[in-house]
Amino acid sequence: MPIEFCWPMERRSLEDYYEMILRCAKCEFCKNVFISNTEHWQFAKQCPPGERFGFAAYYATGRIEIARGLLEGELKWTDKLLHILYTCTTCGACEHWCSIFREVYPLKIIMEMRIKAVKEVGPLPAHKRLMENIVKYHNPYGESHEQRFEWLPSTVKTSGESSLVYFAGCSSSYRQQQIARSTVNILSKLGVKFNVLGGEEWCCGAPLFEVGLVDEAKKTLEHNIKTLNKMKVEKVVFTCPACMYTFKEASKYEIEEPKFELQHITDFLLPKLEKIKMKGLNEKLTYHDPCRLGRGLGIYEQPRKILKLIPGLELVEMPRHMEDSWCCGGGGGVLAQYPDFALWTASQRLEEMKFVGVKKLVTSCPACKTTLSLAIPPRLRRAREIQVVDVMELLSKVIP
Amino acid sequence: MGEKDPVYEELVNILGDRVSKDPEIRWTYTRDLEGPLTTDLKRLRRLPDYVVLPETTEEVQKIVLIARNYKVPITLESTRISVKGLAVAIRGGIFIDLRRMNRILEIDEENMTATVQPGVTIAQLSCELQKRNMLIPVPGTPATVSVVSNYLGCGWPGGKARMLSIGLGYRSVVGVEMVLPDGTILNTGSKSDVFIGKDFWPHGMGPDLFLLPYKAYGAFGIITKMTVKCTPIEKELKVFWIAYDNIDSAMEAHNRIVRLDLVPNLHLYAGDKYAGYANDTLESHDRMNRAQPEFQIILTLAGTKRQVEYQEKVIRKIAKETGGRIIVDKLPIYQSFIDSHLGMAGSFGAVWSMRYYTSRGGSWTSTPTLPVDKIPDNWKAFSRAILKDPDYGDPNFGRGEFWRSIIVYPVEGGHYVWGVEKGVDLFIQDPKCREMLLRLHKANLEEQAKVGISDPGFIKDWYTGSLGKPFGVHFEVSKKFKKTLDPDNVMQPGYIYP
Ligand SMILES: Cc1cc2nc3c(=O)[nH]c(=O)nc-3n(C[C@H](O)[C@H](O)[C@H](O)COP(=O)(O)OP(=O)(O)OC[C@H]3O[C@@H](n4cnc5c(N)ncnc54)[C@H](O)[C@@H]3O)c2cc1C
Ligand code: SF4
Ligand code: SF4
Repeated sequence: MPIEFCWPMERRSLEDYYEMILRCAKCEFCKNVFISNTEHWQFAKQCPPGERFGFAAYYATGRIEIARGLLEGELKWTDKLLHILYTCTTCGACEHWCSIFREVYPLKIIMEMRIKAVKEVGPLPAHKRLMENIVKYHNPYGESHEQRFEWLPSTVKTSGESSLVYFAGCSSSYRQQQIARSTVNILSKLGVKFNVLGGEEWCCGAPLFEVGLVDEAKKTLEHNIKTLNKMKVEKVVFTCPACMYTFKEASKYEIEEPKFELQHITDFLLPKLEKIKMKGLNEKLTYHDPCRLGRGLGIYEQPRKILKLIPGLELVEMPRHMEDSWCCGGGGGVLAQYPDFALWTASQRLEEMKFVGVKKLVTSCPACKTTLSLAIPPRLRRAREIQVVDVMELLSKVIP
Repeated sequence: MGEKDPVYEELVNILGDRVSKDPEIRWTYTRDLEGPLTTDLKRLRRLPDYVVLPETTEEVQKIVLIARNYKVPITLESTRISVKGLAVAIRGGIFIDLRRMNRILEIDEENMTATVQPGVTIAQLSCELQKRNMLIPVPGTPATVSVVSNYLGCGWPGGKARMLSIGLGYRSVVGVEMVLPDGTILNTGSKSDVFIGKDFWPHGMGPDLFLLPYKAYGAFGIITKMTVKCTPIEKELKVFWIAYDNIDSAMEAHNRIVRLDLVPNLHLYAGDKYAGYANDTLESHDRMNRAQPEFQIILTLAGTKRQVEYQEKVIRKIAKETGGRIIVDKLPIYQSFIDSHLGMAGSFGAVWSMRYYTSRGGSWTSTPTLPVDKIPDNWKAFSRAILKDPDYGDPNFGRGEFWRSIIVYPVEGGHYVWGVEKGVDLFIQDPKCREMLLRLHKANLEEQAKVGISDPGFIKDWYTGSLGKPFGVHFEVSKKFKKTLDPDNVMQPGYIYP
């Protein structure tokens, strides 16, 4: 069951969470993977900032108390408090387990605190830059909007008639173009007619929602929804789970709602791939569940099934997988504001990959790919000793 | 220029960035589960002055010496699963969070022992022991609790492990390493015998200091290592449930079974506790509560195949002769027992525990230790207190005859009974709860007194007061020990020793 774990708006203010805050039992289930699944204790932890900084304040349990402190007027916004608040990668592990055990919803509380923080003291410097870039260039990197679709190979034909749109998202458009290119190649090879938004594709707003900049986020998200609604598309497919998650959450923000279906690319492709014979790939690799795709959208099986369809490919699971997955470290605005910590988190994942004896990690999210790749020590990266790829990149090689 | 803070500077010298005096960090060590229930939190405004995260015994020792030198109080916690505010720095000072001391130092398969630091959780140790077909007593608490802090407070195996055969958690301890308030590192158990130097048996040189740290809530020092005895996991395992309509027959069966030393575990549940564990809405809770028998004996049969066959035969006979009905082990909730028997309190068992707290909120009015013959009187006294309560006794509000529970836990052969856990259900968020609970507690004590049972009870103002007011010669003698070891009352002040 996917959980609703991000930038919630149902309650609309932190005050409304007070009774939930008091309900936190300090049971600490939110720190670990599901304990019955634990075979290797060194890989049983789930909250990156808690593990990195150690004090209770950095775990969900402490964050909840911080919210209480703010509400009771005992704590004020300080650099330390903002550090605590913004080192949460919004991975949703705490939210997932607490929703089963006690229903306190720590991540919802964290997100409400972020909304309050930007209202009262403004965004952190890196997040402010993201916001300015998104407002000005429609992407968080400050890249030229005109070049957004430069990745699109001239050989690939899009169809203005098609009721299916591929929403590439900023990461794949500017930073992980190989993912976007592979995706359109795969669609073409499978004979799927699709369209792209071109200049009308703007940032989905996820980087802003994640840090509490809801007002700005809503505008850019609504632009995309309105455009797609106007085009009367029936379905939008995504390679970026954060984009899809953000569209899915739209109904909470009193903006125009999507009149089209949303689907992750792995979910969309699986039935088609089951009907064809793919080329073999003699490789042993592991799969990293992106937080938004797994815990957020409940998509765990589809990428795995796709990988298992590839003849010769051996999929080895890391101790923390599916609901138990460890975050890449890049979410929640952390890579932008605290890159060292983000890369520490990613390096823990690479250790886990080493533990299961594989050198290639496949994931299904351009942001995870970026963060995990950045954490590979330069020597190993150069020698291609450790590789991080997206499912789409792998697939584009094996689809005849 | 800020004022000089020598305590902070010395702490930083030892621990670097593992010390903090940021208010945000300190604030997060101020409450636990029942805080909001038993105390008006807004009244409590005392924070520790520093929080530290030591990783080794030597670091703990240095922290203690700084505290002693500057007469700064120390409060400590291993995991804070506590429900009673046992680790709140009510006198300020240094707060020691021991979670970073989280290494399993040794698993000795030959002597069947495991040695852990205080941050090692029940889940963590069980996970490693299971691989070796070994287990330790597992409490009913979330398995995220520290082995050390749980066993220090007794370690109450809940509905799970082998309470009858192995006993409370602390009975499995074979030795600790402890930093005393003067910085001395003390070993108890066989390791205290310098000629042996190994933890394998709880009793070392005389006078035996084995029990010094138990139920002391840190007042006599900080445990930095604990060695516990492990038990092999049996081949054959069954869970039985016998239902009764009245407490007297249930107690007769209970007594016959424990006197035979027949099974490793047995509990007598009365009232709704089970419904609480198994349901997550008030409606389903109430439905199950009404449908289930009022008294249930829950047994674990374990051993070789032949042993279990024999246990089953005798249990069936006793059930028949005492008018009990055997409800076979088919309900899914038994999975929790089986998991826990394998050493995994934190799996389903604890999911149910947490559910129990979620759906209803539970609290105990008192948990006395009683001899077996006093149990029926105790139950009846509690029932009377409930029924005369304007809220709990009101069938429309409290449905009093259902929403109350006791659990009788016979321990170590069952010749005495530890814990008659008496619970009522309430909503932790409801402001009325505190008032109701205190009222019921008072009525319960009055009813108990009428049948000759005295019990200072559980309900105190844990956050602002102390752990009740211990009294008597026993306490006066312990005060002398405390004075000698800790003349300035630096360790955990405000709890046992004000
Ligand atoms: C849902 C639920 C169910 C529960 N069911 C059970 C049950 O079935 N059985 C059971 O036994 N308990 C049960 N508990 C209680 C819980 O297990 C206890 O709180 C626990 O045993 C104590 O551990 P702690 O982490 O809370 O201790 P802490 O908060 O770490 O400390 C408790 C006390 O011990 C002292 N202390 C801690 N560590 C050390 C140390 N290293 N040296 C010296 N002193 C120390 C502290 O100063 C404090 O006073 C339950 C709790 C919950 C929330
Ligand atoms: S947030 Fe939820 S899971 Fe975590 S300690 Fe609190 S109640 Fe337990
Ligand atoms: S969302 Fe992830 S990083 Fe944030 S507090 Fe929860 S577990 Fe920790």
